[in-house]
Amino acid sequence: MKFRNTKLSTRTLAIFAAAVILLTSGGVMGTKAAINVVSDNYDATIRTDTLGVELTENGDIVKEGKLYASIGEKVEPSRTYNDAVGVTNTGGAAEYVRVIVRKYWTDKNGKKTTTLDPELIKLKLAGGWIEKNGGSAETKIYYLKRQLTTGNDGKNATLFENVMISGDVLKDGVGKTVDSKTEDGATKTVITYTYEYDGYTFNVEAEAQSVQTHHAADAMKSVWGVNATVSGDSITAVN
Amino acid sequence: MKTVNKKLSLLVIAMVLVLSLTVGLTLAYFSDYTEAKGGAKLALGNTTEIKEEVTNDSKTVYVKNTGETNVVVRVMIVGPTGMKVTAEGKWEQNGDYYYYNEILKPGETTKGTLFANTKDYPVGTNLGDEYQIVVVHESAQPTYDGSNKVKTPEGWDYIPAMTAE
Repeated sequence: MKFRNTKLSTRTLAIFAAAVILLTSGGVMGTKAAINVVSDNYDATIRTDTLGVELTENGDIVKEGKLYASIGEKVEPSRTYNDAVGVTNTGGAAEYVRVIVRKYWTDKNGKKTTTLDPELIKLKLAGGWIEKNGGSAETKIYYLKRQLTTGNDGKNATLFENVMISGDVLKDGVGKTVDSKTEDGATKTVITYTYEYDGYTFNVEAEAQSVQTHHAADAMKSVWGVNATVSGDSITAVN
Repeated sequence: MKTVNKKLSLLVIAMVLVLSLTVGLTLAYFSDYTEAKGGAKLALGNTTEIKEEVTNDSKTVYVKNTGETNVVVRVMIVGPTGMKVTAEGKWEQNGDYYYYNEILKPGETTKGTLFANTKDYPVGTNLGDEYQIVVVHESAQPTYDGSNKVKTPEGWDYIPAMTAE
């Protein structure tokens, strides 16, 4: 093998020198970066509040989805039963609430009937709600004007103060039977009055819905499908 | 020109995709719901029975609620002239009737004394071989005003002050 004596050009040498300089300065800069102080790690927990709404009766959350449990099995017409139905905020953020209410009658066999007018079921509306028709004679929708907050002062709202069945249910179909019997030498006569709607049952169904308070009008439009006017902390109109 | 059209198409598709994502995000509002239902049966109609304790010259009268609803009760006692009626306890007289001043619940019997007798007739009074003391009673299902006070039943002139419990 013959050694070739190659002479390096000036240009090649210059490039080689520049490379050396660059590599050396990069190492120096890296050493300077090691001096920088690294701070402690900080953890930030971001929690999103959930909404929660429940129906109440006389201040207590309704159990097992059953309304008017405290009235008993039977009601007397025209008597006012002071069972108050309302809503309460069980979530972590303020909310706007509406309640969809259906009231109707079922006959002695438990079958729904339109013989009796649902308006005979009188639910006394408390103040602070906007009432709207729900698309049928049986259905109404109630919008709570104010926000249902999370504090003790504003987390509860009464919807109906009491319930009463109109005495007009006594007007139709009155029957009368007369029985006589002799006892100990004395004749006794027993007269019994019967009514058409004896054994009929009044029914009330309620569904409470809540939406967030931020961008409330948009939320109500999206979730409930209604155009609501919100001024400050209140709903002022619903269309 | 072909390259420009292709680039323009891609740009439009990208814009549409971005806009559709935006619309989708605005529908996600916080909400919650709950539901419940309930009711009760109508209690209509009433039936009551008279019970009498009879002696030779007197009757003590009781009324029993044999139905399934609350009732209000009144009694009329018809007998020979001079017959004396004693009404004590929860019985009070108004006109020709004696009214029970408490709502009678299903299964309950009137308390207090409603007693008709001919014992105090003057000595020597001849009442005849037979006479009758006839007891007529009426009961009605109570109706209430806004304060749950019992209203005067239809056809009655009077009702004692009573309130539903």
